[in-house]
Amino acid sequence: MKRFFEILIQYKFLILALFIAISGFGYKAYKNIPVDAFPDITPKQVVIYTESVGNSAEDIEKLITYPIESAMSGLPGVKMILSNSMFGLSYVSIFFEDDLDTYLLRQLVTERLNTIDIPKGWGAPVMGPNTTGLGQVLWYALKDKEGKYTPSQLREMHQYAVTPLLKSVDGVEEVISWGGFEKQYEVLIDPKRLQAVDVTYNEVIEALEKSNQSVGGQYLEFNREQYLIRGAGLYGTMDDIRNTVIRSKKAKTVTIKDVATVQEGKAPRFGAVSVDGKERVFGMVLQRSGTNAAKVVESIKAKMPLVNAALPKGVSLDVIYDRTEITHKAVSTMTSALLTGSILVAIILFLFLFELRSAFIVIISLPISLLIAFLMMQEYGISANLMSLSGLAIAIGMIVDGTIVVVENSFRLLHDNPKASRAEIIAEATAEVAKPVLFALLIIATVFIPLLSLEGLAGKLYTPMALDIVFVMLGSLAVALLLVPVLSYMLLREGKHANSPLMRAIKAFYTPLLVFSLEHAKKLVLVTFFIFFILAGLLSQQGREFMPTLNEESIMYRVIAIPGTALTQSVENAQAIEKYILEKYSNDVLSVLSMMGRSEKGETAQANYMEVLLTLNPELKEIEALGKKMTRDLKEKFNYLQFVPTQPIAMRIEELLEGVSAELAVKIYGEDQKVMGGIAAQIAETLNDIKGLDHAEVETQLGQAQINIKPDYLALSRYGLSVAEVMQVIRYGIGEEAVTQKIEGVKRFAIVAKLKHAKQDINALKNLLLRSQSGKIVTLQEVCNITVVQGPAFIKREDLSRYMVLSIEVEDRDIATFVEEANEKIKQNVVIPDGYYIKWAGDFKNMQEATATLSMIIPITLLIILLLLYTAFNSFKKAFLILLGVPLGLIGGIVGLLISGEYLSVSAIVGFIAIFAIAILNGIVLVSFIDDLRKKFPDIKTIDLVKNATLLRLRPVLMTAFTTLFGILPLLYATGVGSEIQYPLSVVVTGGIISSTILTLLVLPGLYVLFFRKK
Amino acid sequence: MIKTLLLLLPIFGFSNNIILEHAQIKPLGKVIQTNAQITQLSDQKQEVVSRLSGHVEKYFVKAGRKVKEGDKVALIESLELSKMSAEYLSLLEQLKAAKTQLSTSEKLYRKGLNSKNELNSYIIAKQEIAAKKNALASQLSSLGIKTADLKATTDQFMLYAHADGVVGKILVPLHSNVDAQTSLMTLVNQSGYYALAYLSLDDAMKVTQKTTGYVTVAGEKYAAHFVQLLPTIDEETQRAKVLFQIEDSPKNLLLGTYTEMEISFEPSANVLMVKKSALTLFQGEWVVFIEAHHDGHEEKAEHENEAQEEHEDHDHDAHEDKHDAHSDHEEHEEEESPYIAKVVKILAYTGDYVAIEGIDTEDEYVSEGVYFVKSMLLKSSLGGHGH
Repeated sequence: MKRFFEILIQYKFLILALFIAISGFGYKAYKNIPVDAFPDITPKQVVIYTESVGNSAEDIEKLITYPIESAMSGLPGVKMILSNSMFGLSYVSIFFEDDLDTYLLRQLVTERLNTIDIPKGWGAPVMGPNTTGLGQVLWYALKDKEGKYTPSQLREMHQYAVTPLLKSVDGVEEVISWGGFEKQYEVLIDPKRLQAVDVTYNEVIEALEKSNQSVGGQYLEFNREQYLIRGAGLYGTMDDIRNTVIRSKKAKTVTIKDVATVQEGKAPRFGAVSVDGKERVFGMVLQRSGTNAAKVVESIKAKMPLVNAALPKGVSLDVIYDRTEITHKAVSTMTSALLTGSILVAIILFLFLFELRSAFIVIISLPISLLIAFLMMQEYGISANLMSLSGLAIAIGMIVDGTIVVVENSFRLLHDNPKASRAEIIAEATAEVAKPVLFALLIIATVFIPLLSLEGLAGKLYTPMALDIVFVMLGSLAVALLLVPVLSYMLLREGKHANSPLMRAIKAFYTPLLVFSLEHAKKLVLVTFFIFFILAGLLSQQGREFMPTLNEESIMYRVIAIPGTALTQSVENAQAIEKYILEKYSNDVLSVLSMMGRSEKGETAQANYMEVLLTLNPELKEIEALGKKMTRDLKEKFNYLQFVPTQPIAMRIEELLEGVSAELAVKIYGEDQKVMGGIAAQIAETLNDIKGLDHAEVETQLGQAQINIKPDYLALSRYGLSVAEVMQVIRYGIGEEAVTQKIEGVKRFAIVAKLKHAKQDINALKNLLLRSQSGKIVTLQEVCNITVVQGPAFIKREDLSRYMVLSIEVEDRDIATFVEEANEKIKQNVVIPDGYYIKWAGDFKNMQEATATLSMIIPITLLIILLLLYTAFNSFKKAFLILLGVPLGLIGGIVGLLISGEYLSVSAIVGFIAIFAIAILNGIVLVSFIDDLRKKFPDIKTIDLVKNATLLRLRPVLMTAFTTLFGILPLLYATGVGSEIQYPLSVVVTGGIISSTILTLLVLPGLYVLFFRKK
Repeated sequence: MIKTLLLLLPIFGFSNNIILEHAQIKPLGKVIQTNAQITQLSDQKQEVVSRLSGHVEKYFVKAGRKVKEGDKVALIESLELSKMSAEYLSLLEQLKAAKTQLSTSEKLYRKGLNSKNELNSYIIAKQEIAAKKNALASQLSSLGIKTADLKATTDQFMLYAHADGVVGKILVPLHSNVDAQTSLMTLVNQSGYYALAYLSLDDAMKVTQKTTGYVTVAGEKYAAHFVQLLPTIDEETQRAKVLFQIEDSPKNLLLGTYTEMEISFEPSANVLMVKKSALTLFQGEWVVFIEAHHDGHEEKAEHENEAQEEHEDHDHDAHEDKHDAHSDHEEHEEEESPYIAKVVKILAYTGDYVAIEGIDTEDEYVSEGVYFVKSMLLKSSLGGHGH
């Protein structure tokens, strides 16, 4: 062992060079790793959406969703398949095991997609963009300063000028257009004219389809040259459309213009965007998964001038939301905590060591360990975010522990043996402490292993943090054992045993306390453990929450109107809300954006849904209070709408998970939505009697009014019409599906053949004139049964079965017992027919799962730690002794949590885990030293030995405690974005360190005496 | 059919978007648009017949002249007429004498100077004369002669056109003698621009004499009235053909033109109507929201609902200031004014109105802002519904 360190010192320059190189790479990694607010918590997921113009939820479910689901369910690694079928869209989301590669999965899905048989004309399934829940990095609106352009023109500009430019930016997966109108060419057919000229609607469609084409005619040779031949039959102008011949008999021709007018129009749309009471064209940039959001946004911003130049004068892009802003804020909260922590630690070290050279060595180990951690983060693809950086911040104090021990020991030995060879002494000193340092750091790393076992959301959030702690501990181990000996050899000078004035003062205060505590060891231990159990009891009463929410410093709402609300009404609602907010909060709110319905890229929102984002005055301080007041005002003013406060990132995450966002929910599975609705209502009623129910809400899936046109075969045959002809009229004439496209350069616009006045109202639709080929004329209602019914607004399915959600909120009651009682009551009171069943779901389930995993993993971890301790000390007794020190640390953590009133969240649990590590570390330092002394002086009475050892070890114990404490203190006092997530953690750690240090110094020696007195 | 969906809601802070109106009783007329073809029926030749024997004294018209019903066309000197008029006048005199005799005889009879038989014979005589006079009077009036104006014997018989048309040909030269059945001239009825409307069978069967409409030709509108529902259907289009005569047709409407025609049916019985904007589909049924009457049954339901309402309200405000939640609640009790969703049956659409069944005339219904009422209902009463 010693030999190893001697060799190290011998090749000191090589070691130095190695670490300089590592630091260099580490710095590069630090600059390059993706920066984000949150770890990517998106589950491995591939989305398949199928736009099926104008079709109803039921038909889409049957003809599109089901075939896709059943094809995909056979893929390897599929965890769950969720789907949502709604008017005009099928949305299937396949969740895979997290360890599979995205690109492989997309490849597999593509292969399967080709085998799916969807009826012609019903749309083609497309994979959703390869992005994450946090993928929407930039939102902007097109600003038309002079108001010269129509919404259709602006939309066209966005689609054909802005989108291609932005899409070419590295890391951009997709640019989404939203709002405005898509231009289309409308052939507005007058059914009465058709009758007059003896032409059927279907003939018009055929004529349009056939006329608009272009072909190649190879070439001819002429005078030794080649002349290419081109059949240019594509529509060029609107007159070309007008002059399309439908039928000609002798000299009599019937053209489009005889039966229709041709005009520019607006395509039916499913979404709109409004800013400050005016409709706008809006774009959204999606980042490819695995890319660096900050870099993507940076390159987009660099391209902005080019984009603006490509737009006509007076039109420019106006950035509304930039996700990296929050990222920068969150990361800067964390980096400043990290930096402040480092500085505080450096000051503490200097105060304790009171010697520049040794302080320097310890301090230099800090950044180098961090850089090594960054290097490893890059290697493992962990982004710098709130969670991973806070891992580093927690670890700062612990990083230096190893170095401190090595330097301290070297310093002491140098002092004791001034004559011996420096290299040998330092090697000797390092070898002496190498084992405890190694074990201590290994134990710290082990303690965080349970976090790695967390699955789902919690796992995705806390794994990076745990990994980072492990990385930085490994880094500090390398530094302590490889670099520090070299640096000590080069820098340390034997000198007076520096005894800082701070240490002297502390010692004077501490010695009598120690003597007292050793004398009353038994009582003290009993009292301490008594307190611990009381506190543990109190802790179990503390409220729980799964995750503190990230405060994104924004105000945003989901606004939900009744199902079936028309888009025009939604636009009206949105603009009323915008005007109201701007008027009422003119000082605080700069601008209000509403996004209604969905854009074209496979989102599932319908016209009754919108998202409202406020741009706030940057000087505004009291965002939370304002948000609360506004929520109340809005709820009162617009009492026919539902307002759910949310935040941009949080919302995307909920949207992506697509599951149940409520705390607790009952999912009802079955076939008939009406029956499921009935069951849900019954359950809701049953739950009413249970104590603790706050409220239960059934998701309304029905409520979309439908006009069903069912062909009457007898009537059809009477008039010589076929079902196909009628359906064609419904699809093209009423539904405005594109018959063909007008191609203008790279732009493509739909040509539709609309029937005049067909959609004026239900009555007009019923009386729509049809004409059969034989010339018979009937109204639609004469050949079809037209009924108006209430149909499903959407149909949700999970793993090939329809379901409905009843979300429940529970207050002042433990959810587990609530569920138990509810289950009992449901069994008694609710009749669930065959083929229907219920399941509990919600956040509660995640928490339950996390708890279950932890309750498995924690005992195992304890066992590993025990084994490690046993290996280090070769004694189970000592290993136990050290583990007994753990509750001492937890006391402070619990007190901290209780005082601050924070809930027991995963964040707080992580804090407790950190304390666990610290308490063990403290124990190791002390116990191993007492052991050393005992070996050297076997004759001295245990109690005296313990006393002396404790006094001698006071400095390192205090140093490690103080460094950890001051390392985490900045997190406790941080106020920026993201600080609220780490607050419970820092409260627990701070309390824990204080109690752990005090008790290690007072109770642990006593325990040692109690354990080993008889010897 | 009268079902009520008992869903009530508080309307504190209801915006001005909601307008209430009384249901109206209105005649239900129907207006449809259809295609029609401009057509002309073949000319109808009619003849003007002398009606009395005599001598054609004068023609008031020449060939080609357009006449209207009631225009003078010819004057005939008729011995027959003079005989008739003379007889009529003498009958008048006789009647007068008979009346005098009768009244004298009555006086005598009352004094007992006359027998009952004698009196009866006078009565019979008077009645005989009166009958003769009346028969002659009706003969004369059928010839267009008003007997009241007849003061002296006349042989001047004025012949009037019995229909609109154009005089075709004079068949009898002037001053020639004619008997009672001689055709004097032809009258060609040319008023014939017609619109042949193609109606669905349902609509065609509803057409009545009072059905009117107008056709639009080259942007001009021309009124038309119903003439006839043609007995056969159009084979090719399977539509009924209804003939309308176009009133005041201009010189030339292009024959065979397909035009648009709007047809208004005769209003049928009076029915209850509400504005089309009052209708909404609610839980699978068409409903109209009316203001609730505060009678016992509904009151109860209201309270139940109110309780639920309050409960929910508190839930929503759970995280908000307690004081505010409380004041909200007070306000809401004071101004409670619920609407009821009434299931209605739609009878017919007509313009902006619909004829419905299912509400009463005195009911005030929500004519504008139905969306908001429905939103409130669905938002606050999830799961709880009853009939």
